[in-house]
Amino acid sequence: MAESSMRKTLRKTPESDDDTTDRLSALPGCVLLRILSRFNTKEAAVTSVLSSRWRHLFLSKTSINLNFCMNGDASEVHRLFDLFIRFAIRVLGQRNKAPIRGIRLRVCHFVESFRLGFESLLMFIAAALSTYRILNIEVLVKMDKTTSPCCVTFPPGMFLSEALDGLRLDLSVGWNVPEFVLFSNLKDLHLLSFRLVDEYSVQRLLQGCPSLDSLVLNMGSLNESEEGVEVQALRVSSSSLKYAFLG
Amino acid sequence: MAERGESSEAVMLKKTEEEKLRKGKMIVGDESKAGYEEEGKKVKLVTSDGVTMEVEISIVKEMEIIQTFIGATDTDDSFIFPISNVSSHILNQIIELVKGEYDQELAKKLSHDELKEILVAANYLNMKTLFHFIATAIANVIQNKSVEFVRDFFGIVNDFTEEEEAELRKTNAWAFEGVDED
Repeated sequence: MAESSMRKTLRKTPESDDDTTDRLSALPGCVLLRILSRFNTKEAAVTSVLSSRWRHLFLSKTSINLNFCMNGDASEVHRLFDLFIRFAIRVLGQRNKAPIRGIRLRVCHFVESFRLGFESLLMFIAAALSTYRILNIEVLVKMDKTTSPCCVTFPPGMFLSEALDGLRLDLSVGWNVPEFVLFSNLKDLHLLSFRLVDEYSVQRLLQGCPSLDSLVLNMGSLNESEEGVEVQALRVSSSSLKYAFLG
Repeated sequence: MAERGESSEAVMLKKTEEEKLRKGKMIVGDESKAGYEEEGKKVKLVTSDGVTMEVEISIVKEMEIIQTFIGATDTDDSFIFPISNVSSHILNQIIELVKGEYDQELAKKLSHDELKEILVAANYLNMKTLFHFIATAIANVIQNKSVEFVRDFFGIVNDFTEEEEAELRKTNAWAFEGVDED
């Protein structure tokens, strides 16, 4: 205790102008946030322990960029994935009233045991979507090649937003389009590595996007072991669409 | 004697004129450098520690603060520009970096204090290329470094208690995965 209180008395006053003055922390919060905006959320969060000035700063970043790309020892990967999910939920949940403009979530080497943690994170994203005027969401999931395919379930709220402008889903896991979709302002939709689970999912999604300008739809190839859905015809119809790429 | 002296002077004059012409042609061909007539011209700068230094025009041209000054006032070759925020040591380092065409290898030889002082000087002199170069150099130094290193580099005073810092590292544990601790 004595040591820590001594450390506090050593703190420089803002008026002192010698070489050791902390010019960086003296910058306004908006300037520091601008600097932090160049980093992904994990990198920015390291600054939280610099000093109390920095403690909550990274939580106010308007773009949330979360990456999990770990390979190797299974138990170590699971320990890290657990830390990742806890961190991601904290970043989404403890905003200190700061807005969110974009969310980017990428998970590589996805295995079945990630599913529960991942789905709980999606629920927090859906909650954020209903609270903030989020403009862009990108979710990328790459399956681990060594494991059998699995599915994730999107929470219903994930497909409801008045503000969302761009949505990019690149999921090599199976997923269902929820029954009810409404993105009243969505302009740009990318569905990559898309796995058709039923004949009507694409149409259901498009019907919920009355402002859609551009659509990129790229079908993922199914593994031999998977049971594909036989689709006679894929209907893509939208009155607002100006540009479509189907692959 | 007088005649010989004159003729040798004339020869010298001719030589320098030829040289000028040659230089002129050479630089005209190289479009990146404008105005060959100013080649070799120097500008006097007086630094914060009172040293007057003659700096080549090609380097001074990158200092937008001086260019603004030249544009706004009637100055001749004898004018001495005060740069009260930059020491002669730092100005010499800046000249070396510009002459070395901004090679990051050169930046590796600079101390942390020199890096910071050059950054402040580049901002003051409004040298855009130097500013970006030195910002990159600083980014390279602090990249993946521990929190202690970065605190020390920027003079950030740790006002957390040990318990508070440990708690923060625990709540943001994911952020500290894979960060070097030296």
